[in-house]
Parts: sequence; structure tokens; C-alpha cells
Amino acid sequence: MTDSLRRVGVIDYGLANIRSVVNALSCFDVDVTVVESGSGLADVGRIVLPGVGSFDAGMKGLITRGHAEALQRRVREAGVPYLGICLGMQFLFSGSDEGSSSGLGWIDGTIVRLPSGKGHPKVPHIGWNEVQIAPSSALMAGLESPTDFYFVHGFYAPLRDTTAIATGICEYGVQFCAALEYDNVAAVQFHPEKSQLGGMKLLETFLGLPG
Amino acid sequence: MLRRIIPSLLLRSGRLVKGVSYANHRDAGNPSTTARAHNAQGADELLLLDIDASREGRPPDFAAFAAVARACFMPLTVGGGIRTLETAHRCFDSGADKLCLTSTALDDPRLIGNLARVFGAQAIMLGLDVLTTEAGRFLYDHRTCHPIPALAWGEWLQRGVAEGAGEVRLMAVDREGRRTGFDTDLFAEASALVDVPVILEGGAGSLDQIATALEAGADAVALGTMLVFSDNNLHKVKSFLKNAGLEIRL
Repeated sequence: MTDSLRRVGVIDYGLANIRSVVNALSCFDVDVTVVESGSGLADVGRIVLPGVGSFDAGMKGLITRGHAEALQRRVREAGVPYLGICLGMQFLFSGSDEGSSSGLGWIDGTIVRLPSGKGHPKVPHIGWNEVQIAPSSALMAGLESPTDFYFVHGFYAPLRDTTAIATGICEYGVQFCAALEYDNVAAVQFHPEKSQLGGMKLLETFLGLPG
Repeated sequence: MLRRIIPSLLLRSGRLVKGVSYANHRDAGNPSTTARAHNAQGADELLLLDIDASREGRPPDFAAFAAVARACFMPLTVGGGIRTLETAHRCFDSGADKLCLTSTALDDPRLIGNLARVFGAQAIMLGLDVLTTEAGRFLYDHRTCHPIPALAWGEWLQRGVAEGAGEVRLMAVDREGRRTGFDTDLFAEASALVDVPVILEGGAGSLDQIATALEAGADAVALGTMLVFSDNNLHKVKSFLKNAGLEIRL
């Protein structure tokens, strides 16, 4: 692996818990850097955007710290491998019913609320759940389908907006997009850093994907 | 949805301890070694509470939180003495994924919402200590070791969830460490009051008792004494439950 691809930048936008992602990535033979502003993304060879919390606060953090613009340049234009986790997946869409901010808009579609109330499972969706993995998935190559991953979320990416790119599907009251992959972009709704062996395998695979 | 089996670890002076009804604590091992073992045996999450922080009016043991976080690649909920946004941030910086607020939320109910708005409801767990006596069920204050008769437990549960808690840890204090089985009635009463996931804790002593609690609908159960002072381990517990036909991740 070239030196550049060994440098992994974990985006810090001030709100998300990035420590558990850093702890997990640090188990592998890579240099993990916490990137606090967009300029720091210039010299990393892979980018991980973790996130829990609210959509609007997260987008605001990404914009004010210059990450939104740097992601556009580095991921969309320069083709740096990207892994979005949880909100780091939802940010890729045009927007979210959780708030009024625009997302990054790389994927057309809107993040919506999990159905709740009578006849539906409890929301937020907290816990382990099965993900059906598409045979075409590079990110989850080597994992059996289904594999259990850990979820914590109240909103989801609908399959209707991700038909062509969904590589993982989960069911919780509705079927939703649990993982998506296209070009150099990969994103998952679940938390690989909290999903023990299956999650660590996914991270290891991401760190080995060609740049 | 898979049911969660959650080891519950109590922290005191850098060591794990375990007692009976929040008293008579005995040493229960090294935090990070224990976390590593639970991680290897497939714990679905981990709960780690600094049991002296609130009573002593100090922030929790961040160093112990960080040591445990480095050993566990599963969700880690921490609690104890979290009464400010700054302390909450330091917990997350130490590697926590969720915060459990018990007595600090009682002191300041708005704390729940203030933290939920920043970190999301899914990251805020309301801790509820309930003591059942012949006179009924009461909230219990572990700092004073006395019930709180002025506030009905069900009312506080609903208030806490309305304030923004995304999950509840429901501890039957009178059963803690006694291995007499879970208080499934308490779970049913709580579950009828709120829609968020409820983790039931207190009283686990045998594999059958865990199965009974899950069959009664518990979203998750927390295990303390049973994993510390017995020859059970998580792998054995989860294999038993899976074979009993419950939705369990091995």
C-alpha cells in the first residue's frame, strides 16, 4: 500500500463521538489522524466520516469547519476513498426530514423518519440487526449474508432513492438501505466500529480498497 | 430485532465491584481485562457506571472509561456524576457511545434534554433505580440509600423520556445481587408507560431467569453478579438463549 493510502483522516466536526472509530481503526496498520478542519483533508489517502447526533447540527459543523467543501474536492473530484458511518451516510443525501439543512447532495433523495407508534417496533432503532449483503459489495466482501451489525438511529435512507447503489439492506418496521457503495464512496447506517468481528472485518476491507 | 445481553460493570476506585442492593460491594476485577473478555465472548453492549461520582460530587473516572473503551468494539454506555455538558463531552472523548443519567437527572431534569439536543436522544439513557417494598414501588436514591417517596417512579420515567432520553435502564434495586430472577412485572409496567427501549436489570441468577425475562418482552437485559460471581459466561448465556429459540446474536 502506498504511504498516502495508509493515512486515514477521521473527520471531527465537533459533535460526533469519533473516539470509538479512532480506537477501531488504530487496530490496523494505518496512521489515523483526527481532522478538525477541511484543510487537514488535503494530505490523507482515505476519509472516514463518523457521526451520531442531529442532521442540522452536523451539517452546520461540516460547513463551518470547511469539511463540506473539502469533501467535495477530495472525495468527488480527487477520488479519495470515503467511508461514511451513520450520519456520515445520511449527509450524502439532498436533505433529511430530521431538519431543514441541505445535505451534501451527492445522492438525490431525502432521509426519512422510521415509522413509529402502534404496530411498529420501538424508535430509535437501537441494537444489533441483520444486514442482507449484496454479492456485488466490495466493502463487505468476505462477510456472510446476512451479517449482524449494530445500529443506533431514528432516520433512514429509503431504498427507492438507493436502488442502484444499495449493497446492504436491513429491516426494522420497513426495509431500508443499510449500506451503499458507488465509485469511491461507501457508507453504512450501522456502526462497524461497534460491531465486533464483522465490523472490524468491514473496516479492514475498507482500509485495503484500492485508491 | 435481536435482544441484547449487556454486562453491567460498576466502577469504584479504578476497580470493578459488585454488591447486593447497591451495598456490601466486593471486588470484581480489572475493568479493561473484564471488558476484553466480554468483547471476545460477544457482549452486545457494555454498561460502565462510576458508582461514587455522584455521591462525591465529582466527575466520573475518565481514565477508566478510556481504558475500557480501548478494549471494547461494541457500544459502551457510561454513567456516574455526569451533570454538565463539559463532563458529557469528556465521556465521549474517552470513547463512550452513550451516557446513562440517573441521580444527576433527578437533580436537574433539564439536563436530559440539554444533552439529548447536542448528542441525540439515542445517546442518552435514563437510569431508573426502583425499590419495591410491601408499601409499593419507589424511586431509590443510591447516594443516600433511601427511597424518594415524593416522586412516583412511573411519573419520573415518563418525564425523563419526554425530556429526551432515548433509552431506559430499569434497575430493580431490591433484586440486585440476589439472583432471585428479574422483576418482569416492573418491566411490563414501565413498557406500558414509554415507547423507548427498556433494559431490565437486577436479579439475574440463572439462565432460565434470563430466558423468562426475554420471553416477557424485555428489549435487553443487563447482567452483573451472574457474570462475576458464578461460573457463567456470556458465551454460555447467549448459546443457551439462542437454543431456547430467542433472537440472540452469537
